Formats: sequence, structure tokens, C-alpha cells
Amino acid sequence: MTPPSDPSAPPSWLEQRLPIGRMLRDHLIFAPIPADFSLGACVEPLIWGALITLTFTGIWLGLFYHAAPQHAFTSLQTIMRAVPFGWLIRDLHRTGVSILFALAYLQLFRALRLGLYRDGRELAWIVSLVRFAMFLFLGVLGFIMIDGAASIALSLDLAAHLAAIPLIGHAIAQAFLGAASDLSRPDLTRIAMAHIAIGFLLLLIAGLTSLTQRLAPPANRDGLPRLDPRDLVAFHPYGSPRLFAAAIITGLIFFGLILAAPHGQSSRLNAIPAGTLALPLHLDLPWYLLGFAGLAQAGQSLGGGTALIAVVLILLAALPWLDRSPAAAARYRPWHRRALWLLAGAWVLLSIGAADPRGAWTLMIDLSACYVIAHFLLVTPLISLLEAPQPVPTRLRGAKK
Amino acid sequence: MRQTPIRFLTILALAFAAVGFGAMAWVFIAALGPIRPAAAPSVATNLASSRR
Repeated sequence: MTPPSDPSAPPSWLEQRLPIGRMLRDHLIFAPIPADFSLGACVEPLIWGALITLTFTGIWLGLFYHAAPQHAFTSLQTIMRAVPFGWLIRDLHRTGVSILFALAYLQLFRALRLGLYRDGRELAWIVSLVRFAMFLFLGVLGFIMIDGAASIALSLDLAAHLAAIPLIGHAIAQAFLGAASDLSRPDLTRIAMAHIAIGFLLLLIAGLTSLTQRLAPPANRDGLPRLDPRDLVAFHPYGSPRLFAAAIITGLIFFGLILAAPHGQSSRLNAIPAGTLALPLHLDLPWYLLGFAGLAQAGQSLGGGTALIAVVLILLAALPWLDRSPAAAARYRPWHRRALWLLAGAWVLLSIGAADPRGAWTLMIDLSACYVIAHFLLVTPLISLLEAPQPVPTRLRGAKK
Repeated sequence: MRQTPIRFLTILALAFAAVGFGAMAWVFIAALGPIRPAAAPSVATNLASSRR
């Protein structure tokens, strides 16, 4: 095995002019990773895998998709039935989105647990939040592109929420959703172009995320701001088998979903073509948008809902300055750890409630949204000031000494 | 002392990746082929419209 940047080996002709091999060795294959490299640390490369899958399947879907009101729905039926392997490519795309969001939510929760937003990692955290917001926006645009009954319901709801923003709202809604003055029908050409263009822009932002994470102190399970050099190992061979295992597990889940439950994530209402005669009474959203739909519902009004979603995203970005505890990782902060599980529970309740917001669930949505806001605004700062954390070691706990 | 057969695992991983990516590449190239002309909207319609 070649050691990282072996100075004795003469570089090849291409390597002299474009040291891509050295870059791969230093920053990917033999990149220094903390010795407690876990399955959770594999989420970032897996997100890249999902993004590349989505990009390629997206380009291929774009070859057959007609972004016009009467044709979009039909062209998707053609993809599903007449294009060779079209069903597989579309299922890779829509199930890939579910996998991507599952990974993104996991990564958010892991960052909250390990304190990966503070101690020199603030910029990496904020860039990763921008990336997450882009995931959400692209998810919404992609769902509208299906042009079924649920798509038009979401498009109308999004238009109403955007238009509720004071001064600039209506202009933003019109810029994205199209020329119709009442915004009753989205301009699919704009939606499709925005989906594709922002999708490629997302690759750039994802690259920036990985770059800032690479430059920030290495993420570790003890939340240490800096690691002893003895606690760092080369990715290959110490971390690569674990990434291989994580990729196989994720791939099995991915293809299991595609082959056994291809419609599991899609709205049944989207089997009906969009039209003003088939407007659904309520939103029927994919699971990854439900938490934010719950927030929108808890805002009590269109403007309130938009504001609440913005507040949660801003509070997440402000988290490095709201958390004042001397320890970063939740494993050394018992009360903070409990509050985080409560936050995850509140988010799940918010999502379940938003799927069918009736009866007692409206109250549950409001309570959960209250906790989500309070967790970042009150609970985290107060616990971090009042709680005395357990002693944090100076070396990694899981590492060989 | 037995050593972990890193080289063997690497070859295995590369073989898996090659088969997987090869299959996907085949799917993507096949998708560029001609669209089936008689695309029935459903299996039921397909059966109903077929010759007896």
C-alpha cells in the first residue's frame, strides 16, 4: 500500500501537472480521521452518493420530461411505462430523495448530539444548514413537477405562504411559480428550470460543505475541539471498511424500498392529473416535508407559518452562540441529552400531526412547535448555563492509547 | 499472527462496485434507446385491447 504522499516515488507526467492523485490520497483515501470513526461519520459520504445518484437520474428524467401543464403528467407516465428502464430511473430518483433526507436528518441530529456546530465548526455548520434548506426547496420543487393533484395543492399552498411575506412576497411567489397573476397554476417551465439549476448549484454548496468540514476540527464522538495527533488515523484502512459496510446497508435499504415499496413515499393523490376540478382538501406531503408543514400549521396564519419556519432555520444557524456549555457532546451533558431526545420526539409528533391535522392533533402540533422553538431559544441556553457537565477527557475515549 | 487480508477485501470491494456501476451504466444507456411504441396506460387496458 502506498503511504500518503510518498516523496520517494517519482510522479507521473500527468501527476506533475495536475496533482489529483496526491489530492485524493491526502484528502480522501488517507485523510486523517478521528480514531473513533463510527457509522454516523459515514453519513456525509453517503449523502454524496445520494446526490450523485439524484444528479444522474435527474439528467436522464429531464430527457423525457415535458415541462408544460398538459404534458408533464403524461410524460411521467411515458417514463414509467414506455421508456426502457424509465421506471427504475424514476424510482431511483424519488426513493433517492427519501434516502437523502433520511441521511440529512440523521446528520442534523448527530451534529446536535456531538456539538458539531461549535468550537471552530460554526461556518461548516451554517453552510451545511444552507445545504439542508436547499434540499427542502428542491424537494418542494420536484414534488410540484409531478403535476398531480397533490402537487397543485402544494404549489397553491407555497404560493400563498410566499405571498404572505410583506413587501417582496408576491414578487417572489410570481418569480418562482410563474406568470399567472392569481398563481392558480404553477409555470412548470420555471419550476423545472429552477429544480435543475438549483440542483446543480447544490452540488457546489455540497462541495463547500465538505470543504468547510474538512478544514474544521475533525468531528469526533467526544465533541473535543482539537484532537491529539495520536487520536488521528488514516481513513484507509481504518475507516474504509466501516464506510463500505454503511454503503452496503444504505444500498440494501435503498433497493429494498425501490423493489418492494416503490410507491411508499409518493402521494396517492398524485395519481390524478392536476386540474382545478380535482383540488384536494388538504396537503398530502412526503414525510420529509411534514415537520415543516407542521410548523407552518402551528403559525396559525399564512404569515405566521412562514415566519415560524424562518425562525427555526435562523435559530439553528444561531445555535453556536446559544450553547454556552464548556462541554460540546451530549454524552457529557445529561440534561442537554434529554432535551435533545425531547426535541426529536417533538419533531416526530409535529410530522405525524401535520400528515392529518385534525382534532387533538392540532393542539399536539402547536405544543410540539412551541417546544421546538423553546428548545433552541430557552432550553439550550439555560441548560448550557446551569448544568455542570461531567468531566471531558483530553483524549478520545474510544481510541487505543 | 494472521493479518487482515486488506488486498483481498479491496479487490472484493472493487469487484462489487464494478458490477454495480456496470449494471447502472447499462440501465442508463438502455434508457436512451427507442421508446416502446405501443405503450398502454395499464396492464388492464393492455389485456383488454389485445387480440383474443
